[in-house]
Amino acid sequence: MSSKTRNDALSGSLTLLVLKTLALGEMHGYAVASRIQQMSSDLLRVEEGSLYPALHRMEQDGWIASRWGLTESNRKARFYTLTKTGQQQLEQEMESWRRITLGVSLVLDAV
Amino acid sequence: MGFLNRLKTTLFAQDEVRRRAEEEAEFHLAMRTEEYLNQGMTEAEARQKARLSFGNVLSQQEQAGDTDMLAGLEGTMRDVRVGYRRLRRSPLFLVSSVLLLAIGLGVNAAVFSVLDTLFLRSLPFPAADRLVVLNEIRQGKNSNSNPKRIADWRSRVSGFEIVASSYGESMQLREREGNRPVNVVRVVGDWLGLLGAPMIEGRRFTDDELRGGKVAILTAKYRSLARVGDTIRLGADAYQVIGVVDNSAALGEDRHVLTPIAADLLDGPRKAGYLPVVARLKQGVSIAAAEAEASSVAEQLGREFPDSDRGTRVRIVRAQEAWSEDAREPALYIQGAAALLLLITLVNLAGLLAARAMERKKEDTVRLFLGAGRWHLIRLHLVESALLVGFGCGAAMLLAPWALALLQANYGDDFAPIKNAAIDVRVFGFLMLTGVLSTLLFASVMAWQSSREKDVRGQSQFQLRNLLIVSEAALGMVLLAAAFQLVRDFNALRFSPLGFKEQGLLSARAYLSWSTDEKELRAAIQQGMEKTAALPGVSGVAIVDRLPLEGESQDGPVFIQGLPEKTPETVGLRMASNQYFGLMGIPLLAGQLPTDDSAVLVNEAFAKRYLDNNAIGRNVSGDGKSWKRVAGVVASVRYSSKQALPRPEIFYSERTQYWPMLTFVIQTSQPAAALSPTLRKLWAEINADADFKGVSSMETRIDEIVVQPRRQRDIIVIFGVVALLLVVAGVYGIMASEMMRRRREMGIRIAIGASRSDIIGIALSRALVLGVAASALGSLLIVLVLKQWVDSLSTGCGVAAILAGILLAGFVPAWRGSRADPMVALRQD
Repeated sequence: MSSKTRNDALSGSLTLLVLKTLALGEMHGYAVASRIQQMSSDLLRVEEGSLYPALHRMEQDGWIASRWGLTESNRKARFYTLTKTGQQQLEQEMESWRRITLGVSLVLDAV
Repeated sequence: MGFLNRLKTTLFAQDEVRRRAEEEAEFHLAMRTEEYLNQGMTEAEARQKARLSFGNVLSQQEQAGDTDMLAGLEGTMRDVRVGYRRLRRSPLFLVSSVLLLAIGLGVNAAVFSVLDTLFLRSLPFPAADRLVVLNEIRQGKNSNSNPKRIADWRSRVSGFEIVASSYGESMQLREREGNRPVNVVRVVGDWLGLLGAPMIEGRRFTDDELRGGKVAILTAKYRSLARVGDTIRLGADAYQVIGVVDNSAALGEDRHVLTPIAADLLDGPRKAGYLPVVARLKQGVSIAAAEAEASSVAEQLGREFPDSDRGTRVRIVRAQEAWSEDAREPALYIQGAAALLLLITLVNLAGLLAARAMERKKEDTVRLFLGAGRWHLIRLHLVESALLVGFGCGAAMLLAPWALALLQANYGDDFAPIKNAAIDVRVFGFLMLTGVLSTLLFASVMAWQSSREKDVRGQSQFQLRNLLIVSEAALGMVLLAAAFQLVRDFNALRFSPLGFKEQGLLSARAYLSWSTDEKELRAAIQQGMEKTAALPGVSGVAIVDRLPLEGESQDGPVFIQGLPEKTPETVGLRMASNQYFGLMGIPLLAGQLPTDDSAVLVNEAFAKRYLDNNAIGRNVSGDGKSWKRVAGVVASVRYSSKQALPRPEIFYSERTQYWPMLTFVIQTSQPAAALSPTLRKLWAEINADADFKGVSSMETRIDEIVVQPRRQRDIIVIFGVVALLLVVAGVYGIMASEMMRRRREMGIRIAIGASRSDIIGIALSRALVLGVAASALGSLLIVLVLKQWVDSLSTGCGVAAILAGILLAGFVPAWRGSRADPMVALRQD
């Protein structure tokens, strides 16, 4: 239940997190989830149920591309990479995210 | 770009997308499981935890497909698959609800096809909408006509195109091997033209032949009886076969042959009343116009023939209406009960579905969370309901012919048109309509239930189910009360003292033709009595026109000496030999049995109604000229199963009344089967044209006579029992889930000292509240709608039955709840 509350705050930023993670290089969905968790020092957990729909949506929007490939353990997996449009999108989203967080923290610190 | 991609995906790549989602999910689960395994979990634990953290794989897949642009067809198809999977996951629910629907819908489809045939569909004749029946009303009562008056209607009422009539008669067809009973339709006027019955071979009757000609037309079904051109012998006369006609001409499947009415009957008295008047209106003539014209003709006739025609009024009704009139009451009963049963079934199912929707709340919440729109959820409910109802309708179509056959077997003899009923396109349409309505009902119940997402374990969710169960139980109570009423009515009709005895008596029937001449009839009666009395083991014989409860014989208003006018109502003009009263144990209350034909008996109802209970020695007369003296008064016995009270009756001697449908009452210790062959042979000797109907014990015969109310009772009782079972099941369901929900509470109560009986009491009081609410609602329904038919005792019985059922249904979960170990209950969640 408690992960749910975290997720709520996260849901708007899922696209941003995924784009940012994929900027590190080509990886499969599971790796994306683990990476986010790892990079956030376990503070953020991506609900798998929303990850794959998000990946799918982003691919259709042309921000990421995907192909079937094999993992180190020889499993078949879908690998995602950032496209050029995705790169631009990432920059845009990072910009707007920074603006928002800056705004929010200004408000929070104002008291 | 995104738009085009999505369009492409929707149009071409649905399966591809779905497969990909599945494979990705599989990969992800495998990785996650591995991770947990590395953390030291067992494989089962790891797999379960991975699955849990992933959420519902199913929803994932759907979610992946949710990128449709053309959400319509593809989406619906997917919903159908999802809905089907959801249903398949609970096979018990699927099977039981489809079965429920099949019964409810199937029975209603069969009833609808019967009602459709009887009341809605036009008759299978050309210009059926112009076919009317002219009712002659005398003394406020519909009465039949005779050939002379029919001829007058034909020649004087210009609004009629054709006026005709027919009556049925059973006769003996003489064949080389012996006699064969056949049903003959005697026609008056252009009956075949009126019904537009197509000739299959040969020709119709000519005008000349219709005046008593000895010619016959076979119905198609029995054309093998003779060839066109042959001569057949019906009774004493020879008839030339001139054609074969479609069966519709006979208004029944069991009629063999049609002949014109006999010449002497054509010239019979204007007072006779045995023919219905059927007419076809001229094009453009309204019923009201024809009725106005016929009424003024009736006045003319009244002036011309004051003896027979004075005071006759006329009413014209559509033939369809007139011919289905007798069926109206049983049809109303069955239709009402079937509709109630369907309603109960639907409400019961709605309750089950509401419960399902509640159980699936978690799943739906996940769907909502994953971004499924509310509308999508509603669509899922709609599709699932439609699937369920679709299966139900399919099963109902299989069941309906069977139910129809049952109805036809039970009622076909009484209401011939029912035999034409079939499960056809119209019935299918009815089923579809009912199906769509039920689907909407179910879907809205489910949507209502699952859309109340707050308050996951709160009370409010149970309110809808409570409402459903209370209305279901109320409807069930109405049906039960009606069933009790019919059982009581029937018992009053059949088993409470009827005023006559049945034991040790047989009844034998020999029906002679209505054209039998009077002398021949008297001889047949006398010989029948004497020869039967002479048989070994027979200690008494009587003759009567009709047995008690069997219905009307002859009736009419009579003159009573000292009173200026005829009696305002018709009284029964019965025929019975003196022995009848002694054998049947019908007591003579005053006076004595008539010693000659100038005296008659009256029943107590007659003496009270017209003679101030002082009947002996008074004189009565049918025509005001020849008078009969009242010799004695006998106790009243009900003459009809339809009328609650006996009517005034006069009993004439068997030597003075003309009634060729002879019923003999025989006192003997022998069983019916032993006497039957002897009597059959005896009647072949007495009168070769007699239609001997066999011998049966008096009990069996009376049972046969009251078979109609018995069938009505049986059908409603079956419906009532089914309704009770449905209600019990419904209440059990709601109580069981409620006890489940309140387990913790009950655990606490037990832990702080409540006794087991306290727990049972708490649970039962809940069931009692449901029961009382249902009883109140049901009683209100009865008072508002059925007050005429269902009295307060039956209502009380219905209340008692439904309360008992509900308490019983509530007791099992209550008892189980009280057995629960408080520690286990508290440890839950």
